[in-house]
Amino acid sequence: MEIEGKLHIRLLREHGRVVDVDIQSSRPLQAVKIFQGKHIADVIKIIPQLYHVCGVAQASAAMTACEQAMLIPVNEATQSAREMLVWMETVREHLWRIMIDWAHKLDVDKDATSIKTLQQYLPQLRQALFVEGEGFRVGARVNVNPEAVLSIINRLDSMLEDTVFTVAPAQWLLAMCEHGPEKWLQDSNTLASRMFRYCSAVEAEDAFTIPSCLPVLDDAGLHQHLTNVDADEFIARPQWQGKSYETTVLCRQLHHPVVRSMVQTQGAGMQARIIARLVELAEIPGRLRDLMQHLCANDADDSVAVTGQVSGIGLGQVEAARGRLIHRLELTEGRVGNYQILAPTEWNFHPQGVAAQLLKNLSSTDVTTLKTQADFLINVIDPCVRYEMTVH
Amino acid sequence: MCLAIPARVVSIDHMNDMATVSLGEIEKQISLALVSDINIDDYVLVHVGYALNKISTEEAEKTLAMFAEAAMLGVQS
Repeated sequence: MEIEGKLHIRLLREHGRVVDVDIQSSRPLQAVKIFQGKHIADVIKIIPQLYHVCGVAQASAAMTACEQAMLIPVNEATQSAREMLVWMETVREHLWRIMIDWAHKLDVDKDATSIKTLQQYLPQLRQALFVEGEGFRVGARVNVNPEAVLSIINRLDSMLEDTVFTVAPAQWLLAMCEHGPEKWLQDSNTLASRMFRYCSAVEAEDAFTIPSCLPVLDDAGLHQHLTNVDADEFIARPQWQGKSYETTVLCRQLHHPVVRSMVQTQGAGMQARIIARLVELAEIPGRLRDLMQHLCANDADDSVAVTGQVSGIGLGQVEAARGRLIHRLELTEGRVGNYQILAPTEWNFHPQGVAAQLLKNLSSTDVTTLKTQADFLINVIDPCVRYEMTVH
Repeated sequence: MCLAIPARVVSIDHMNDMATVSLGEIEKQISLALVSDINIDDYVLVHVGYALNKISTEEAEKTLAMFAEAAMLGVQS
């Protein structure tokens, strides 16, 4: 199964402290070459199967690039409905990690019933939003069933309350804004609060870091990077204007007062990243309700032109659960000439990126303890990346 | 971007919600915590030790053919 590829992370220690971090990758970044020569409709169908983990975000980025390249107008209702699917996938990704990875790390039994129930929400939402549940194909048609959508959001709210927050997510957010995390940590014994307490216990006191978040990337600049002779190098080890950036849930939530305050006081370490993920989770049911209102208020025939300037070339940027995902394609007579994917992992695990920087803050004389800390750290940056780690 | 590999279930440990899956000659233990109603000879998409979804044999064969194509192109960097 080596086709999956992985990151090879090497920690070099001196007197128990990590002094250098080496990250190499065998991730199959050029797998997209198999799309060359194929019809775009087939490629759009294949992408979520190949990249199943963030399949909705992948399909969304692919569709945006495709519609831009083919100058196909997309109405606001379709855009809102697709955005709802991406957010639902983000919930699933965050909750999987909490209910599986955090439970495993904290030696708690997994809540298999909730995990399996969670799996059903995304396909149910597809069916409640689109004709035949098909939101990501040329000519996808919105056919919203408001009652079904609201029922899914309400069930999601309940699941978040039961499995993560102990109170309704909106109430948790309000309490966090009013009292900060201290009261919640005092009163709660959920997986999330226990994970937070663990990380605050192991986080190095001198680990204060400021996040360097990926800015908005303009299409022209991206096209330029992705057509240069060193485009493959850019995809493998991306930097923007000579700097490494992170694109994570922390960056998406840095505008939130609770997250911002934690970063200002504790730095952008494990605690801030856990809070950012929880804030995002708590906000998603509200976002879904807002998008639902927007969707219902907009006539499905209210078409808007996409912004593509050159027919045959398209770019799609989507915020996937783990960070910004970018697809670029070139089409000739409906067939793919070139296809490129720039994934968040390559920014976050760049040799000078956020993972390398934070791993350098770790210290322990015991190798097992150090590895456990490093595993936690990697999990809060990108919980589904495959890697092997060695300590020297 | 994380690939999800289709693999065939060859045995199931119901007690621990685990399964042994095969891809060609390689066998590996995976968790079934995320999926329901899995039987021997079903195909599941595997990622980082978990079965993510059950897929049809036809879908699995198509996806495996694409991975084989990718491997032939030498796509691993």
